[in-house]
Amino acid sequence: MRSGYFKVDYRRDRELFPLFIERLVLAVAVVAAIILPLITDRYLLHLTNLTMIAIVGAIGLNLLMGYTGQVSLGHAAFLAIGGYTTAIVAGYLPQLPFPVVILIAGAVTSVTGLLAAVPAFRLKGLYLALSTLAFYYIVMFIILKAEPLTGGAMGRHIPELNFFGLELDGEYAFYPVGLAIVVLGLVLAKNLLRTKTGRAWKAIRDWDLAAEAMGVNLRMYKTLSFTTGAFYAGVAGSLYAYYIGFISPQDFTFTVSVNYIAMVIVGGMGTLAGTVAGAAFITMLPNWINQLAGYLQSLWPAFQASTAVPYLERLFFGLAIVLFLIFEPEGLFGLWKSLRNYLVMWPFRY
Amino acid sequence: MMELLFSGVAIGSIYSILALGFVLIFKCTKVFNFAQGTLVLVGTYLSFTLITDAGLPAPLALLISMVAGFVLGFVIERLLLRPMIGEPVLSVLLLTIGLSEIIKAVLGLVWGAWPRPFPPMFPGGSINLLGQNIPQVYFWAIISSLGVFVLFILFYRQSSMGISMRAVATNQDYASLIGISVSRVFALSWGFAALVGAVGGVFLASMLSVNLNLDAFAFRAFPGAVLGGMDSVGGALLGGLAIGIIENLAGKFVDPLLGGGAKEVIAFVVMLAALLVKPYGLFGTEEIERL
Repeated sequence: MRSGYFKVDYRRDRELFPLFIERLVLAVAVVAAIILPLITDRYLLHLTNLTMIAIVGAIGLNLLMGYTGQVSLGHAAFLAIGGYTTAIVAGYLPQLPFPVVILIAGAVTSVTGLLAAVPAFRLKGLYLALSTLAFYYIVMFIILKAEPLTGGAMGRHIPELNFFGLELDGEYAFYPVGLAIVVLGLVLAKNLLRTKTGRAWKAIRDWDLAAEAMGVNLRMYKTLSFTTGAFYAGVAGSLYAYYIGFISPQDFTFTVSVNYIAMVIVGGMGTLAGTVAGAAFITMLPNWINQLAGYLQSLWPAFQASTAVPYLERLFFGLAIVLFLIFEPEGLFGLWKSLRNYLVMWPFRY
Repeated sequence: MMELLFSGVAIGSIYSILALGFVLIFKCTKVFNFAQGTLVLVGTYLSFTLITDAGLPAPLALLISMVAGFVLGFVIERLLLRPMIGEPVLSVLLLTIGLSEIIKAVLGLVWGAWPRPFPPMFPGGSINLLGQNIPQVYFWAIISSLGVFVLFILFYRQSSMGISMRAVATNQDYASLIGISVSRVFALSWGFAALVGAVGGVFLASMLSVNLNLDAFAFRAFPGAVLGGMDSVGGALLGGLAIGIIENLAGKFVDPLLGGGAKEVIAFVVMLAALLVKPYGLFGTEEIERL
């Protein structure tokens, strides 16, 4: 009789989804992803698209923060670099198919990730977090000042998604593109984490000195983590730029960095499934707050929903971060894990 | 040139009070408090309301908000930081980011977004100092920040509470072995940080206005704390002053080249350079880890 959920042989360990219940959830997710655009309205699909963009970016941050233990407060800078690279490349070469542009955006962002990794050679923990903060402010300053390329504070328009002359526009056209990239990103990350690289990252996260003593090249793997995380963020920024069609520095404020941190924490640091849940939660939250504010206003007419909503949003984001950190450090994934273990063990408690 | 230097010192003295807030918490609890900027906001808004709505005299209002700030910091430590003891330092850092979001949102809900002029606390006009005419606000900012620093340095050197706080900063385990209540020291550190935040906020608001973006200035004081060394009280003073002067010089000499805005970013360039060259600052204690 089983007394818990353990991986006891290599076959089990190699499986991406070893449990029946996990495969069941996956199947439901696949079906939902296929029928979603058929049954939802435009607005919900719009939110879904934003969620998919957020998932890609959050995977990048989770690789960096959740798997390698390097906190980045400058994730918005990576998103901005990806977004602006897209704006520039697609602006000058409109005939280029979009997958190429997205790859270029990811690659350029990776290179800047290399720069952001330089302080990580000497610094760690809190001091490294501060250096990423400085990196963020410097990048945003450069973007603001490089007016001929980026449009400065005025922002820049991005042409529609171009696929060999076929123009993809609107929520319904973007959905399959976003979905494909999310699936690709998840599969890539999931497999990357099972390789030597992934194990090295986790070793660095758990104790860098011990990892180094075991022969993990700290510089190389930290740099790799920064470039990979930046690549994902760059792709997310690129998708965002394509989807919204217009970007300005207002789209990449420090708040955006905080939002991505919130996604990773709410979802669960160091879990990919959690990242998906966290990104969905944080992206959908403003919508729910809007509805809540509308409801409050109908109850209590003195309540100014329109002015209060932005603050309520920040309040709930902050509360989500604080409460999850205190009560459920493993995030939504932690909740799922308890439920999963309960179901796997049923009818026994443990 | 001298004028630039003076206003740099005046702004810098405010930065150093704000930087002191970071240092007071980091010294004892080893937490980077990202919510320090919003603690500054709380003190500012409180004294603003006490002066304009309740009609209290400014010094009394400042005193009340300092006490209120102290209580707030104390309560935050007890409620939110206490459960995090033993968690990874980065989780605590992220918690303070969440905390700053909460505080700012509550302030926005209560007071709204629009900026308001801070009631004048100091006589207008300027004062003649070393042959330079400098505004009264600047003068009082310099004097009171020096006062705050002298008080804190004396407190850490002379009072038994201050000495036990330094003991905790040096080694928590040994400190608790000789009977120092580490948890009380932690709570006091947060209280003091919020208290000096209120002082810095009032001066900041007197020079600018009361608005929700004042916490960005506290962010710019971060480099000062890093430059001076995150656990050095004297370092915060020098670091803050240095940042103030560098910002003003950048405003004068770099802005014409780039078309403005250099003031907002130069502090972070300095911080990045400081982190790369001397990560623990000029006077900070180096952290050494052993296997």
